[in-house]
Amino acid sequence: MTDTLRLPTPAPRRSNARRWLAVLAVVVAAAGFGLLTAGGIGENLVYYWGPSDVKKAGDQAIGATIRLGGQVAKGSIRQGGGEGSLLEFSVTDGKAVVPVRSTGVPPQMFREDIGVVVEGTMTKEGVFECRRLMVSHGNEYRAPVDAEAPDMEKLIKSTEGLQQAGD
Amino acid sequence: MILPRLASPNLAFALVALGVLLLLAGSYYGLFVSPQERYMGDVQRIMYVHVPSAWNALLLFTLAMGCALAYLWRGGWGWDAHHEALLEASAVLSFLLCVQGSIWAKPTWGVWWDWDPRLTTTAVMLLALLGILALRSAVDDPEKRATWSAVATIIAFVDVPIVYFSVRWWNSLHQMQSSPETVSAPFIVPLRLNAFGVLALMGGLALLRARVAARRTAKELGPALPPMPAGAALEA
Amino acid sequence: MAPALLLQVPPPGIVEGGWEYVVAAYAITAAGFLIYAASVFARHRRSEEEEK
Repeated sequence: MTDTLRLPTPAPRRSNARRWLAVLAVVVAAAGFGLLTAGGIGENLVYYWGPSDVKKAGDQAIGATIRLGGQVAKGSIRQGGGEGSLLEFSVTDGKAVVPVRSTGVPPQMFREDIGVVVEGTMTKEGVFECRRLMVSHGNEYRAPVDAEAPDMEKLIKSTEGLQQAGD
Repeated sequence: MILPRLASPNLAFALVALGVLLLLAGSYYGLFVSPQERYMGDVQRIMYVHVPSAWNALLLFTLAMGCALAYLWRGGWGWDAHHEALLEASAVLSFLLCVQGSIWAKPTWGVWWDWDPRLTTTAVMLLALLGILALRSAVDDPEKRATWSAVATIIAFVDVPIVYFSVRWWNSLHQMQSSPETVSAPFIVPLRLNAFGVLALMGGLALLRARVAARRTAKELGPALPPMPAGAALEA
Repeated sequence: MAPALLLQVPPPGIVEGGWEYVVAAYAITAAGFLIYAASVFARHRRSEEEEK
């Protein structure tokens, strides 16, 4: 374990200027963090709207490109087979339901009760025209063995963002 | 581990070897022993490289920030050398993190990428790390390089808690952090093996990388003045 | 486009196969570690040799 490498000398002197820089950097960092979290920026950052938000927006949601997030409502999936075929389902947050029209084959994870984020726009008929369909799964990873009785409460909790969107 | 002093290369090599062994064991377990996930099937195995990369990218960035703070507060080129090494290791992991996540997202979410809060803040972290490394390579004066990049690292570190909490604060495409309660036991073994494997591997490489940085700084600073013999000043 | 043509059987939501994604993720990770390790080793050796 012979080690010929010595640290460069002389080491920089302790300097008050550098210490002030340390304090300043920490203050700037803390202020930036505070602004981002406590300030309005955090509140205004919205990745997707929940079905309730879309309903509340009414006509404003028509024609504008928005993301709608929620869970696929039970029994709402209707699909043809193959590329380019119609895919219909509803997105819900437990309070409001928005019917979604899409085309093509959804990701393999797509199923009832799973989280989805769809990008597109509302049409005048009140149907969300989806151009991009994304599946958003929860934070649960289970081996098939203990999958018999899925805990619904946990399932709902695991799609955390959906509750916030509904609030 | 005391970072103001440089580690011996043998310690670094031993850590790298340990990391490789842990990664081989963890990846073997993750690829061939762990069961499939009930919905994701085999694709879930990407978790065993993705999550350890994420943890260690954030951890090494945090350590780099500690070194930056220590350099400014206490001085000492060892802190600066480890600051540089840890930044680089964290940048490598952040890059791999984004690529692995993208490959995992395609078969599960259905897209390679989307600008959701978690992915965006992680991309910001990678760019910040690359930016600070670029700053370091652009400044020739060792003192200025060390001081400026330390300030930059402390400010950029703000992004680390934001990356971590992004999935809790905002609605996102990315799921929340898992915990042992949300992950079946057979998945946890390869996850931990690879987490410590990445830590040992990248930690060892960072110790080695810090020696390179320290030696370069030594060269830039020039040879230390020889100690003045007693009474020499009088004769001059 | 008639609704009657649409299937009403819900999809199982299970990812079939996908090993190519797993292999790609592990291969890129391994390559990343190997390249970075090789680069650190090379830089370290060069700096040790310069010392002599």
